[in-house]
Amino acid sequence: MSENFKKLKTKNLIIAIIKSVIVGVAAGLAAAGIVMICMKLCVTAIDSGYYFLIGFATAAVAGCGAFLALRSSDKKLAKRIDEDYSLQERVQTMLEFAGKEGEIVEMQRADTSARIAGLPVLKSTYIRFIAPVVSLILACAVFGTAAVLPADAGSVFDPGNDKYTATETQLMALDTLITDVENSSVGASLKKELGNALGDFRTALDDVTVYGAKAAFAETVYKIDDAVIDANSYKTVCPELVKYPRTALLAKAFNDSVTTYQSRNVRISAYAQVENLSVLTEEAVGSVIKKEVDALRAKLNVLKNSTTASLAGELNDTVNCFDRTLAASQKYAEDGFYTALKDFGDKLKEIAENVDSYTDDYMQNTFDALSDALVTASAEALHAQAFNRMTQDFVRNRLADIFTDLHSGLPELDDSLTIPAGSNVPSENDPGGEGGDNDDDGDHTGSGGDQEIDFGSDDKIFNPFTGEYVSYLELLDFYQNLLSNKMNGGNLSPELIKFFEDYFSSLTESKSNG
Amino acid sequence: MENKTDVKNQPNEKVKAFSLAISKIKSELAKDVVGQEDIVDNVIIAIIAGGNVLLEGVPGVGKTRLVRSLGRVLSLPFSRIQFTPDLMPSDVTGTNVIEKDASGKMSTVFQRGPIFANLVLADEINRATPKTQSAMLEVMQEHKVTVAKQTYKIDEPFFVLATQNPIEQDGTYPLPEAQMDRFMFKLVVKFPTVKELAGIVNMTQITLDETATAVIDGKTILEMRELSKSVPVIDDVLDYAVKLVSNTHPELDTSSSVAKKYIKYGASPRAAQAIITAAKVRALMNGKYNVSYDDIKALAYPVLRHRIKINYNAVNDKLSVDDVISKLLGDNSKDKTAVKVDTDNVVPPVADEPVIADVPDDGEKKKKEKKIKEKKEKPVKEKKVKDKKNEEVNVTISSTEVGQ
Repeated sequence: MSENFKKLKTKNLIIAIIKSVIVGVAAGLAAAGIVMICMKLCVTAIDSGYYFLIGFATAAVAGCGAFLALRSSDKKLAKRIDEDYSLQERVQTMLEFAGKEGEIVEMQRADTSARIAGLPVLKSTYIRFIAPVVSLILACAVFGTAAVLPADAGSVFDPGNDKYTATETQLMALDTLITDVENSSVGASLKKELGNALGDFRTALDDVTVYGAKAAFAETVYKIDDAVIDANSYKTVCPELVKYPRTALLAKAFNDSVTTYQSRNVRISAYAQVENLSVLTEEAVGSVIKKEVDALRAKLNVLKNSTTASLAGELNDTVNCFDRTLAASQKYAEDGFYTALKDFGDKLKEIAENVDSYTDDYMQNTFDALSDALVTASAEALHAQAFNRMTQDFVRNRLADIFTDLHSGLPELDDSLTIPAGSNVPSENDPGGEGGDNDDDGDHTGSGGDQEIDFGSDDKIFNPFTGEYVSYLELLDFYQNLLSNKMNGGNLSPELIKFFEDYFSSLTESKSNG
Repeated sequence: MENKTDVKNQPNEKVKAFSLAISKIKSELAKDVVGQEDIVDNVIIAIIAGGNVLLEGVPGVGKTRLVRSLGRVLSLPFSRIQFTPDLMPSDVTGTNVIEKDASGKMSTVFQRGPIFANLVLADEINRATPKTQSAMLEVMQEHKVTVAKQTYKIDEPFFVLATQNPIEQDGTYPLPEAQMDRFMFKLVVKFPTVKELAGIVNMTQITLDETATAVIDGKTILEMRELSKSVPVIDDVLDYAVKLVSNTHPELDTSSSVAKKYIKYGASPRAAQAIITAAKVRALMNGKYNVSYDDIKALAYPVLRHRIKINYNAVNDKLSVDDVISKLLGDNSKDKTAVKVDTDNVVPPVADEPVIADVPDDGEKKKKEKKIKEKKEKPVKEKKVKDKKNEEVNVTISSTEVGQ
């Protein structure tokens, strides 16, 4: 073989080795870099020796593979030389006829050998180095990126999986909150529920991720809300009671009495505030209830002057409202508020059953006593429930203040009670009513609960004295005098007195105009 | 063992003599023939390779003059046969005649015909009848004549250089394929350029005589032939040439799509022999000691254009034979650039007549400058093809009018 060709062959081999080394190093760096990036994104640490091992193995495999691919056979090399230097198959001919003899063959050999003498490298070699060098640069970039990435780079994309560590301050504040709840004056059952909820949350914070901590916080708040709703019977009773027009205002008064402390616009964030507000609002709770109970009482007092049948009917209708409400709130049978309503309803029912045997004064006294008892009992019970409600605010606000990093706002609590429009009064004579009661007193036509008095109209009303239906204007004077006697007797509140005066004044105007 | 000194300082004497002979032939022919360097080169290649040449061109382009000058330059016994329709085979080969010797005895003597020469000019060969044309078959292939069961061998070297006029249809007989196959090359002598024509006019104003003189003899030609046979060909180049010829046969499974679409009949095995033999001579003429792909591609046109028959698909696509050969070269090897052929000057052949392909001139790298000149003077589409990364192979292919 031509010495010059051998030299070219050696040069080509060296170039192939160099390129293989470059490719191998590039592959090794890229592999190690990619693995490192993956580990860091997964926030997983491995020994650096593994990266070296991966890189070395990849470099070895890639380098060997590249060498096998780049290494040219003599024939391929000859072909490349002919192409690069436009030798028109001279080198290939020289190679193929290397062992042959002949004048022309020998001359061809010598001529070709002379032509390739001194050729430095294949012309396209430098161009063929571009790809390996570029790949090496890219591999260095990948590896450099991997090296500078922080170990927990992956946490940027998924911080929720990081372990959550509550500060000492937070934990101490939570423990204090738990102690406050344990030492509070809420009922035993509610206290236990609140304690459990806070205790579970405290336990969860020992080993939890960020996502887990947020979820635990939200769950604790829900538990607290549910426990208070469960303990406060008014949240169940009042929505039932408000369905009936007779008792809608009363139900709303009961409901509003519990949250009357909110009118002070105080954010409860300490247990001492709960205690103070409870004291301050005790009277307000009773007054809100008393107002509506008095209105009920006044209505009943007015009605006691009507016929026995109509009074009984009215009483029974009212009792029905209470009965139905209590029937829907059976789980609170032991509750004070429930008991107050039940006692009131029972007494009212007793009156309704014996209405014939009661005198007016006795009736009035009874109504008064019942009303007072209702106010007292319900106010006491609802005041306790208001305390629960304030404790609920306290615990929620404290949790929110302690763990500001675990929430973006507490769920709103709905304390309002809306009087539904178009609700029917339950009556045995109302075919659409809620399972009407059987009333032994007979029909309730006339000034009963099943017939609305249409003021200012020409509708007839029942004259208890004649037993006939007459125009209401004929009885107007009678009722006005009756009412005046009672008002003068001091049995009505000033507001109620004024109400009736305005009422009859309007009727008097209608009469003069009619 | 490798000669460490500069090879050029110690060339082989035979090769040196070869080169010298070529240059002498060319210089002498240039005295009588203006231009047509490609034709001259190919004719020389054919002669050294031992093949016959068919020259085709319009009247007056110098076909006959070239052959006559060649005869003088090669100092070979030359004879001219003017083929006419009434020419008989015996007029070509010779015939037995009865002679009376001095003693008055009658005997049969073979009177040799004009074919008995070393260089035979068969002028307007397509004017002779097929019977007369067939008389040329044996002598062109086997270099011997058989008359009345007697075989007469013709001295070597023996060449037949035939001419034919492509536009003359009346009274012509197209050469049969068997005879066409006996020609190594078919060369198209194109109309001279303006400058060449001016040179011709100026030369003939002085004298119409042909002034070329003998520079080599038949023995030298035979030596050159022997020398060229030893030029090596690598297997890849040989495969390339063989596949090129094989791909001209549409009936073969391995043929190219070009052949299946455009070729009716492919080239014979003689084409493969001719292309390799001629390529060796061409390589040596160009100073190379080996055959290359360029040699094969350059000789594909003169070797194949008269050996393949294109079909009506090619006619419909307005493709000449050389266009088809160009496509075959492109299909033959993906990494070897195909030489494009100019098709601008192709005149579509008339139906019902044998299709005569456009005859481009062969070009070589060394004729680059002259071709550029011709390009300026004649509307010839020149395709520059990058043969290698650093060289451009500039091949000018032009077409003459297609014979009717």
